[in-house]
Amino acid sequence: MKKLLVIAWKEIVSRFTDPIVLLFTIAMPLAIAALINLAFEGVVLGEGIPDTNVPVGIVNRDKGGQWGNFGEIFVLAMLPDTEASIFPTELPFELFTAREIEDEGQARRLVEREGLVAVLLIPPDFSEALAAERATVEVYINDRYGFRGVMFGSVVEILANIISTSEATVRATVSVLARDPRTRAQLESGRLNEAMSDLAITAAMPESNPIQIRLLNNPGQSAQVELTRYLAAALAITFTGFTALMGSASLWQEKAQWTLQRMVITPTWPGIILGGKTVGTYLNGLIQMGMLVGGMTAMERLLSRGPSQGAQIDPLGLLVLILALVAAATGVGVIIAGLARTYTQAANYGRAILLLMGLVGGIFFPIELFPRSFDVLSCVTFHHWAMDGYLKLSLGGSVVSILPHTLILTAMGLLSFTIGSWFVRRRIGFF
Amino acid sequence: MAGIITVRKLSKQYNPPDGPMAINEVDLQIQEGEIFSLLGPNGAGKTTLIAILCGLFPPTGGDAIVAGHSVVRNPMAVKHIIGVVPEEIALYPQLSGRQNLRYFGLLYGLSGQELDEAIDDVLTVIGLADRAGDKVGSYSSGMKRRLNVGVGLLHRPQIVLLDEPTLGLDPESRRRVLDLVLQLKRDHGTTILYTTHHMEEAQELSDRVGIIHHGRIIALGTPDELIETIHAGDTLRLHVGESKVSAPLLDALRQVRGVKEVSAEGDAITLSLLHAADVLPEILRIMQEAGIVVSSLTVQQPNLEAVFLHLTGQRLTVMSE
Repeated sequence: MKKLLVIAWKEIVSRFTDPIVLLFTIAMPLAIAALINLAFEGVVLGEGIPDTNVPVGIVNRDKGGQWGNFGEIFVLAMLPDTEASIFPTELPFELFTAREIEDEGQARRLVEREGLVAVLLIPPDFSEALAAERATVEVYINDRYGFRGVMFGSVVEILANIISTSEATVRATVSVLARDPRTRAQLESGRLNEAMSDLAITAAMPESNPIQIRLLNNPGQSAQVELTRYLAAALAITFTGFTALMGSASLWQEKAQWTLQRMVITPTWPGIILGGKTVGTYLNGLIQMGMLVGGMTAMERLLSRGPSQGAQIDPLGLLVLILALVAAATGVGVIIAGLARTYTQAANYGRAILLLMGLVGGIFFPIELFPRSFDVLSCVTFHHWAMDGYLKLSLGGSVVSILPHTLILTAMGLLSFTIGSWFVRRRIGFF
Repeated sequence: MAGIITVRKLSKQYNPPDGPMAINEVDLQIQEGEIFSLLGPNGAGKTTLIAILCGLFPPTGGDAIVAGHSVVRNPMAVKHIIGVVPEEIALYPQLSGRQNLRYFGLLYGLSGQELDEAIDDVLTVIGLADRAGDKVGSYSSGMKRRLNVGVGLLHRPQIVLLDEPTLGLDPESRRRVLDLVLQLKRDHGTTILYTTHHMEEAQELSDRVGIIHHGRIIALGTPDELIETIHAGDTLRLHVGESKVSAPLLDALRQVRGVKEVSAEGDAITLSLLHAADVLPEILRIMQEAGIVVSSLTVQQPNLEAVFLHLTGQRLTVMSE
């Protein structure tokens, strides 16, 4: 154990007494953060969203009823380029770009994390409730977007009115009903003709609009993430990944300069050597993160021209998240080092892999902008969990709220280290 | 008598089964307190043998017993006993000389006052006490080499394996390293396995020499014993400047008892002799009688280079370039 700490200490001293390393791991990200601060100070995520093509979602959990699935009418009406779209593409509909989301929880998260301005939530019993008496849909709005969210609420209301008054809606309703196998069977047997007529008459009466709209405000509406903080976090995550990578890649550097062999020929077990270097890399990552967080916080205060618009971040939560993030980054670094054959390979390919992971992980662009197939890919990157956890903390979340993130990151680190060290031992040759 | 290092049928094949045999069934015994040099060109297998003895990787065949411990079965015990000076400068340039020594000292299990004393001793021995606080990156190559040696001596090992420790050094630094090796034996009775491709070093330092070629030990003995085996004599070279060398003069020289061969080329006459000291006065007399002025002369005694040439048909110095 003592030797492990000796090796770890050497890693720290070697790294933080090298001016070049300090320049690239501390000074450079801080300088970039300073420029970002100067350029984007006061800009809040989401404020740059345009007034057209406003991203909204629709979650249709309607299980349908005797008369078919009425929730589907909303979907048909709101999704762009739907063949079955029955509503004219005129204002205010054309201001919104809707996407259908299956999971309500995910949809709410997207609104909370500012991927969507608002989401229409159609409950499972919507069709049954509508047939029986009155049904309610909810519109979950992120108030950060001001009028856009409210306008979406209005659009949903207009839609509901159209559904209840328009002849086209009746036709669509009948069309939807007609596609339902159960309805079709009843129509063919002649048992439903009268009921369909009644439905058309009822729907055509404005005062009988049976759809109630409930507007829900995003509970985290007061919390905002400033762009500078988002980008600072992205920088810190990226550079920590690089530090972890270079720490692990230094195994190859040490092999080339024979210091690794010299360690092996001392009475020290190879596992202790690998463990010591990994612990050293981990501690280097923590120190770097500490310096970056401290530096960026100080810079934010120095350069800030007004009060911060964001919530105070839970320091314990941030600490726990950093501990887990650096563990994951260190583990991934060991895997990359284990797959390489030289220091140059590990460093160059590793940097490319980490940048790609950062891109997919959504630290350069919100992952919501990518096709949905990227969601799964994103989840296997430590960048995703680190940024998601950070955003949760930024929106006022506590250490408990990021528990899943920290557990996943830690597990990612341990698993990566286990796999990576197996590769390293094979590749190095004398480990 | 059992040696402190006994190597039995030691083999190492890289990338078996088709890879090259770096060393092939090497048998060797090194006695306690002796300096044993392994002489051979680059790629002969010297470094591989050292790497196996210090437990860097296992052999593919055979075994070596170092102070009673098998390098195959108990490499960790061997590592406690030996000190290793690798051919490469295995140091951290961003750390100071003292930090490098402290780091490796801790890995050798030293600590506290024992470690501090060991560091001070080594710094004095290698002559770097005044530069101990400077970063190794700022050292000259000679200083780095000396520190490289120093790290291997830090834990006062019973046996020291030095792999080409004078590689790339200027004559002065090289002399310091050689003196250091001699001092280790003289003052501490350390057993030393020294690999080199410089026959002068092997000849000067060694109690015994093993000549290694293509992974096999092809000759083993004291330098004198090895030279004796090839029955080579001295070589006398006479420089005659502008004087004209005639055929009768060369015939006269060939008639001298103890002269084996005479040849002339340019301004020099070269004679192969059994023992230069026995015939030199007679040769100089003949030259004087012939009116030839000898401006300078050199006597070259047989050496390990000649032994290597004799055994392999190749010059050691050429192969190592």
